[in-house]
Amino acid sequence: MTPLAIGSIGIGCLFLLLLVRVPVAFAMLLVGFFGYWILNNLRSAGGLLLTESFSTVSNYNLIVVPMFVLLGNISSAAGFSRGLYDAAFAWIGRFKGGLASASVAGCAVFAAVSGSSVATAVTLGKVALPEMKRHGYADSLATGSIAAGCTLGFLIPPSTGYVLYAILTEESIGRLFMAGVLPGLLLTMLFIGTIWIVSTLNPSAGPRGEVVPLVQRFRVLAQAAPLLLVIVMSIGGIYFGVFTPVEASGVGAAMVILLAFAKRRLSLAAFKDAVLSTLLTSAMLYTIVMGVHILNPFLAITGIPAALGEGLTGLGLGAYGTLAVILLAYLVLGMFMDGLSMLVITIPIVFPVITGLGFDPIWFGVVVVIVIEMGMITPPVGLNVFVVRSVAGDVPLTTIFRGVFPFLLAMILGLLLIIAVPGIALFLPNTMFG
Amino acid sequence: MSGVIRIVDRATWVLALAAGLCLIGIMSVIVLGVVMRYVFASPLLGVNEIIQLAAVAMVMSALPYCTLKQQHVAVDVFEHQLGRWGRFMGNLLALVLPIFAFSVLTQRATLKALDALEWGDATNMLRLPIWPFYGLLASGAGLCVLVFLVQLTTRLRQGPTT
Repeated sequence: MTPLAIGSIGIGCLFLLLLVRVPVAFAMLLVGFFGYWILNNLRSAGGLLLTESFSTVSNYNLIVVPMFVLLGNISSAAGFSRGLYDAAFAWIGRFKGGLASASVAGCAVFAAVSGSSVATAVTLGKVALPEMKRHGYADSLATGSIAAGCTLGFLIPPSTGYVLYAILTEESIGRLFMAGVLPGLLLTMLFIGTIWIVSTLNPSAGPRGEVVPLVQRFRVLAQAAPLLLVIVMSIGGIYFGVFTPVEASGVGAAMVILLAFAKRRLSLAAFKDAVLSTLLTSAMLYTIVMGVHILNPFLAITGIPAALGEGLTGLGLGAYGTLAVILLAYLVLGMFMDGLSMLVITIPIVFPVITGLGFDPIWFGVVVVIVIEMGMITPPVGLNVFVVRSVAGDVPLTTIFRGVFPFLLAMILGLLLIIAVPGIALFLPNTMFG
Repeated sequence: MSGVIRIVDRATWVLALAAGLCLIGIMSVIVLGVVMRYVFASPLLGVNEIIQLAAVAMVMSALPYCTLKQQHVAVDVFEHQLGRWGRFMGNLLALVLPIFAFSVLTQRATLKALDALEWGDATNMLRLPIWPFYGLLASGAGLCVLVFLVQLTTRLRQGPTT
């Protein structure tokens, strides 16, 4: 049997293991390990298992993950999201659909301390949904804006998606973080524009909030200022080369912990829970990276990525046609798989094809993260929608999916803009460090 | 059997606490490195090595706890289509195969730790010995095997459930 045939069987086994609910990390680790064993011998496979495991858990850059997860968990536990939402509401709540817009803005800012869209959905959903219900917002607009807004958690840096993409493709984490800033802001504006259109077409869906006096607006903003300062220091520090991403994550986490204790908003029990939750997430993510690092050498020696690249270019679709096929495949996969799993399983296969076609790897990181996030709000899986449903309580899933639809169109528009004008993603990383 | 479960539970909990300390320790070292560089103009040498080795301790101490709490991401879209026997077989597969792979990892990491101890392998800058960290890799993977075994036994006793 040829290595390519063994590789194809390996891919088949991988999907079979995923189908029977074997955890993603173990499925990749097992296929990589047993595949390498078949193609070489047990001694080599054992060596691969040891070296890749040790190099993963001792990877300096991956420390960004636990640090930013800790930062997000502490911010949630200390209730800092409430301050962000209040500040956003004070400034834009008086416009059409203002509360929904404030929720999206709150999601965007909270995304800058949390690398996860699920954490953003839970945190902002708990704060914003009751407020929108109180003001008589339509369930579809209220839940749809939160489900869509929390996708910014994965797109706006720091994001676990970017870190994993950077580790898998050996690209710079700092450059990827910077590449996510403008597309994140673009999508935020598109989401707010979508809310304005929906509220204009149906004024009862998103009524205006009460006008907050200017003095009060600045007072509320000042209350959110410390967390905003942490965000500016972390992201600005990376941009100006003051901090490496690892340093920015560590300093950011330490500042938020000090802030939470100083403001007496964090008990020791809540701190312990935040640390344990961070460990669970981090161990899960490290195991996924370990799995993909063991799968990659197996795939490489089978020649699967090269064969796929030849097959796709053989279709004669051109670079953008091939890109469209790949993005379409991501959208379909996104309907059944969660974003993180999809990213780690597909990138080793797709990345060589993309770079072979001459696309910028940093730009593709942003594009792929947006497409993955679209999968998080499309049926039947739509993880973010399920999370919002769990927070919203009595709102049917169909209502949330209906509410998400206009935002999905906005995401498609944003995606097309970023594909047409790569500079939206590449401007900041290209101007880094002056 | 309940005695074994209790010991495994206690061991994973103790290691999780150690992992928590490592997490806070890593954060403190990062901050210290930044403060020394910018405030005292005296960069700490070898911070990267300390962080890398502490990360090994943190992850391998947290992994058994994560496994015990079944926090690893799985694709469960087709859960209902599998039926009770399909789910049962999937659960067994998800435990038996990792038991084998993690046993190999435990064995190889133990041998590597002994090897590194014998040859005095150390980090480049600070000359920190590496063998304890291969030992931690072995103990973390070994404890994961025990957690998987406990979960396998429990699953087999329960049989296929609805």
